[in-house]
Amino acid sequence: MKLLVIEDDGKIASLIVKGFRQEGFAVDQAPDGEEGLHLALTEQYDVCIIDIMLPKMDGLSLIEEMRRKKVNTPVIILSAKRSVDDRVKGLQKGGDDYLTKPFAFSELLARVHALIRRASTGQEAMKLTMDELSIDLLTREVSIGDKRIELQPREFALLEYLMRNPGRAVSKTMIMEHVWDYNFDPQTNVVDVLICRLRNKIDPYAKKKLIHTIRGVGYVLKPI
Amino acid sequence: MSLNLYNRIRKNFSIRLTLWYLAVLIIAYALLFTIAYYSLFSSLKREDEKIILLKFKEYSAEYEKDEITGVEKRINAERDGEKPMPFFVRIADKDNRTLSLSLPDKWTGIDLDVIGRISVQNKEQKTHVFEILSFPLGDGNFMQIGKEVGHREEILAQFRRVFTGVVFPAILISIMGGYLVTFRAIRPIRNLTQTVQSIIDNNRMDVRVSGGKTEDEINGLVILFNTMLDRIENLIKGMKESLDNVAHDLRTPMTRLKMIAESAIQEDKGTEDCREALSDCLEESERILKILNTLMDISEAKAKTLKLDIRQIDISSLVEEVVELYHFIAEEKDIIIEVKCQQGLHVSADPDRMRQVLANLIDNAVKYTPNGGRVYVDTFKKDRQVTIAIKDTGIGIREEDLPKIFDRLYRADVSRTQRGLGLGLAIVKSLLELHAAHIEVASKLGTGSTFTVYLPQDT
Repeated sequence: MKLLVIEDDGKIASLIVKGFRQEGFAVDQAPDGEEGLHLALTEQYDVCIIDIMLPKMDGLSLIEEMRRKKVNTPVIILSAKRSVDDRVKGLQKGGDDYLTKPFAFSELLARVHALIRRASTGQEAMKLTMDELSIDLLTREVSIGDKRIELQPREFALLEYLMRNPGRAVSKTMIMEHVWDYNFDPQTNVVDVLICRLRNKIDPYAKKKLIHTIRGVGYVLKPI
Repeated sequence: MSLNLYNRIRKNFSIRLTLWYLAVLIIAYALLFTIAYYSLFSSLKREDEKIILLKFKEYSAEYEKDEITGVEKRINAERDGEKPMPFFVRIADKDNRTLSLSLPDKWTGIDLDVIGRISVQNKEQKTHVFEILSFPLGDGNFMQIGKEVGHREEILAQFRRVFTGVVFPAILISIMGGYLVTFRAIRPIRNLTQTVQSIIDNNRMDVRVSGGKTEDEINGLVILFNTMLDRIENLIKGMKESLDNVAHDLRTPMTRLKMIAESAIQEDKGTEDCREALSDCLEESERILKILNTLMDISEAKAKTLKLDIRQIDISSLVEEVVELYHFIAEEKDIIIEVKCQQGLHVSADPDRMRQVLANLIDNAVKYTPNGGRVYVDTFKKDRQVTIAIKDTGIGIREEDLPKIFDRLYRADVSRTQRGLGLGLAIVKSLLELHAAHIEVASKLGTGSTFTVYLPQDT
């Protein structure tokens, strides 16, 4: 997997690059819009991460230019502007996802994975498994080993989201967005409550602890 | 110098306006003069022609009786009278040969072929103006009768003198009056310019344009401009205040963040302790971000710069959706949320913002209701308003706290045992006000509180 990161802030760029390399990605980096565009047009990437405010050429024009030249690499926009207007504008210009600064690296990682999955899977998997836990997306059945577990729709949606991001931390905001389709933070502890319920249903039957809390970051599903 | 003057005139609106006014005035006067002069002239001419015609009738009667002799006899008789003979009379045949000629003393050396107005200069170098008309006689001959019309010229000259004597002072007065009127008329605009200049020069927003109260076009502009200045001043004040507030509200969590990091770095701590400190830092920074976002929302809503995505929304389904969000939390605390919704109630509102408002209120209700309690959410229509009442059976709010609960960072729960930023009700209030809606609260300590939202209903 190869990424292009176009970001003018050196510190942020190096943290992103370092993070993705640790995750096993190959990463190219450009500090301004012109160089970024040149790389995006000449090299093959799986995902581009583009900051909106860039020297020489701003991110939105860059994306527009990419799309005009028929380069359809998925793009994640990074922006310090959080208004709905800016988000809509970014997506209209050809961005595939929009992330507001400050963001957590884990969130960026999850979004990159989501984009790669969206781009690559023609055939959606019908069954997701992790260790002895498996869920059937069609029949919506959940089982640990031989034991069947009954989940409510929201609980199922949460588990499905965690299983789609195996071993990767997902934040509360991301869960709010994917399980409830809320694009704003209602400032509730509903996510903690739902995670707690899910744990109570799964943990008694699992040999290993599956749902882990990473304080200050979010939750991760992995067998330890 | 002349260029300088030209530039000054170009730049001075009153002078320009006065000059235009003057040009129009001169054209009007010239037109008036021409018409008056021409009508005076033609009426005088008609008068003279009438006299000549009367004379012709007299002579032609004599001519019919005794031909030329009769006419000459008549003329001689008139010439012998007291008054000197004022008429020129000539009878000619059809080839313009003179058959008879009678000439007043002044009429010397005139070309007899000329008919109409002739100017002759006699020995005294005085200008004489004549009016001569020709009439056919029955036998093919014709008679010419002329009359001196010098008096006519005198009247016209008098008229010209009087007219110019009146017009020049009139124009002068008009120029001065016109300049004064325009100068006064654009005074509000001059005030406006001065005010704007002083705002630019002194960086002060509290000056206003002085001007009348009447609602004419220019004063209307002045009033509008002052209103705009008020609006801008309020906006700047609001922004400055919210900036101060943000700075203030962020200092506390920033200090906490700094202290956690500091203590972790100074003491000789193990990896596990460092991880703990980093997690604290992350949580604290998350909190700071939330405070920042909420404060921005509150400030923008208060300054009315927050953009709303207004749509027609079914309020009952929105209420049910938000209640569903709290379903699990309520279940954990063994709280029952009872929802009563009148169906088909529509309001124009930003759905996400409305969700935020309802989520905050229901969150509070569930949070402050003890385990096993109840929360009632009642949506109904009353007096053209959609009313959402959220009633909890919680700890209630002290009466002296009631007016303060919508303030920023105010928390009645001094011990701060419940999580929260203390911004929830402040954002609720400002978002509702942005929707032209309002919220009321009633509470009894120990029994519970009711928050009631009133939304204007769609017509």
